[in-house]
Amino acid sequence: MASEKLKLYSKIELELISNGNATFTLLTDLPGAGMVQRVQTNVGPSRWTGTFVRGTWTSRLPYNTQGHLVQAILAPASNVQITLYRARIWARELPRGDWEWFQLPVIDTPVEFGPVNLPIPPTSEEWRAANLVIPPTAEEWRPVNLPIPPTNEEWRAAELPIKPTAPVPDWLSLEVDK
Amino acid sequence: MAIQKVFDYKEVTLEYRSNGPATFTLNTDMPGGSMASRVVATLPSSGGIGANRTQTIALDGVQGTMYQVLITPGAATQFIPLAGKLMLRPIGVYLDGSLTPAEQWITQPIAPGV
Repeated sequence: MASEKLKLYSKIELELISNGNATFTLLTDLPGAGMVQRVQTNVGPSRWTGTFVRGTWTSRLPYNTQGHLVQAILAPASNVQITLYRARIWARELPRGDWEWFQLPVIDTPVEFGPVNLPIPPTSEEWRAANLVIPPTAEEWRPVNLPIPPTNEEWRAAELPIKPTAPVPDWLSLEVDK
Repeated sequence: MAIQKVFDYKEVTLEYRSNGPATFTLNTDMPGGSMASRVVATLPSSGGIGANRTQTIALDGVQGTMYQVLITPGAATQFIPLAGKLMLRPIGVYLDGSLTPAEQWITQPIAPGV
């Protein structure tokens, strides 16, 4: 057994925001030797003048709720959301202990909100120069050839249009007086 | 209990320039487990594209493991977001009964005071 100290439980208290009903269940290990449900009750919405607010819910436990170990279960109904801030149980050690609150383990919700920057790329406060896309004009002059076809430096042969003389003369028929 | 940390959102502050109105929308995934619009607000004109404006929008009662910010300029509006800051805190125990399976808070068997 985890603890030889036997406790008597009297009250349970939850600090929460709830927008609907939930079921709270308490289990202890006595009587018997296993964790058994001893209490199950409804936890109503934490409503105040029409809005859901952070509030305290307290419930008396049956007079003989006792055990070495205690286990709590909080189950919201369908479509109900609960933010649980604190849970504690009013108990005393048997046979002669004093009544006192015992905190049940609830992960702490910080009171303060912290900043988170949205992922917006920064816009610079300063202006900077950006060159326009104008091609530069050269400071120096450069030669450009005029479109004159070049004159060839070499001579080339060109045949004159003289009709060639045949090497063998042709016979001509002459007309003679008869 | 949600495996991912659920956050509680308080407010968002935006700095921007605009020459007309725009719409701010915050989507989160809680409750329900899917991204849905939770807050819709109007971002008024900053008075011209050369003028800055800082606007704060309340987000009370909004929770989620994830968030998504949408800024939609109105017709003929030019909008330049400059910076944005979201105020949030992690919730210790957040139970959403609309999830499947429904979430529960269950302690271990505890020996109080030991």
